[in-house]
Amino acid sequence: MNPLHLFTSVEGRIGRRTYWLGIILITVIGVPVIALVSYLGGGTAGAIANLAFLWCGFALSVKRAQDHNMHYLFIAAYFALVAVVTNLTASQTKMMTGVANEQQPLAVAVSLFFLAYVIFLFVQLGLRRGTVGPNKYGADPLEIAQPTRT
Amino acid sequence: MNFAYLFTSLDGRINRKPYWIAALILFAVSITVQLGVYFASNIQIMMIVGLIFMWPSFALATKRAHDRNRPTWLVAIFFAILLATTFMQIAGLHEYDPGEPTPIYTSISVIFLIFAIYAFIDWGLLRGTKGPNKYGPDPLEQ
Repeated sequence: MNPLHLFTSVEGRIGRRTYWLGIILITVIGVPVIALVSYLGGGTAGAIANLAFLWCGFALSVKRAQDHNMHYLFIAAYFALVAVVTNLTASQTKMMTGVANEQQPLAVAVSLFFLAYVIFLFVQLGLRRGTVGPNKYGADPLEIAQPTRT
Repeated sequence: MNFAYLFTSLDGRINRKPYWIAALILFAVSITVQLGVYFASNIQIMMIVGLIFMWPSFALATKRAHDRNRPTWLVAIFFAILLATTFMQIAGLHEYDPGEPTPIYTSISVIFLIFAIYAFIDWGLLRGTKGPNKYGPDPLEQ
């Protein structure tokens, strides 16, 4: 598949092999590049580099979700949850430095829901085969030699 | 699916599907049990209770590694490193003060992380040897 399409477009479907190769590539390139950019250009530049790689991960995951006939909002919801959980954890750590071992029921509930959602996405995107045959996002990537671009 | 075989035996080969189904069930059970123990007692007791899930994970990983034609001792080293970090945490030897890990613990953790990435790709994602290998016939051809 065309790498530009693979890492930027949210159209079409990809199989598990393409998905995992893409994830590994993003990690191997993304981690050192983000570290280098933050080191050379400061926090804001690092955040922009981070966003660029997040988009690649988003585009990749949306195409894998569509292979299951799932709406892209399932992936958008994951990114929103990451933001919420990160903030909750940070605010809880702040509170815990003042009051020892205080459990916040809301934070615990949201974190547990997040864990369940992550497992669901891991199984769905990483392990399970997509719809057999064409679905509304395109042809089955496992049944065609050249994936079609919709 | 024969779960007694999957969770206890070191013999033979398994393909990715039973590996992941068993691994997810094991993960769900171990998280539930460990959270329950944690809320009933403390984190040390939780980690000690967590050790009972080490053997089923080892048995699963070994059979998947065999499917990739990897020797049992490679998986044993992986679990020995995991066991070492767990024991250091139980004994409180992993850090001088909260947030200040000891250099030995940090080095072991980095080695474990690299090993874990390899293990995830090799045992979790890649297809086993096509046809028979020294651990048995191809589970996908049966």
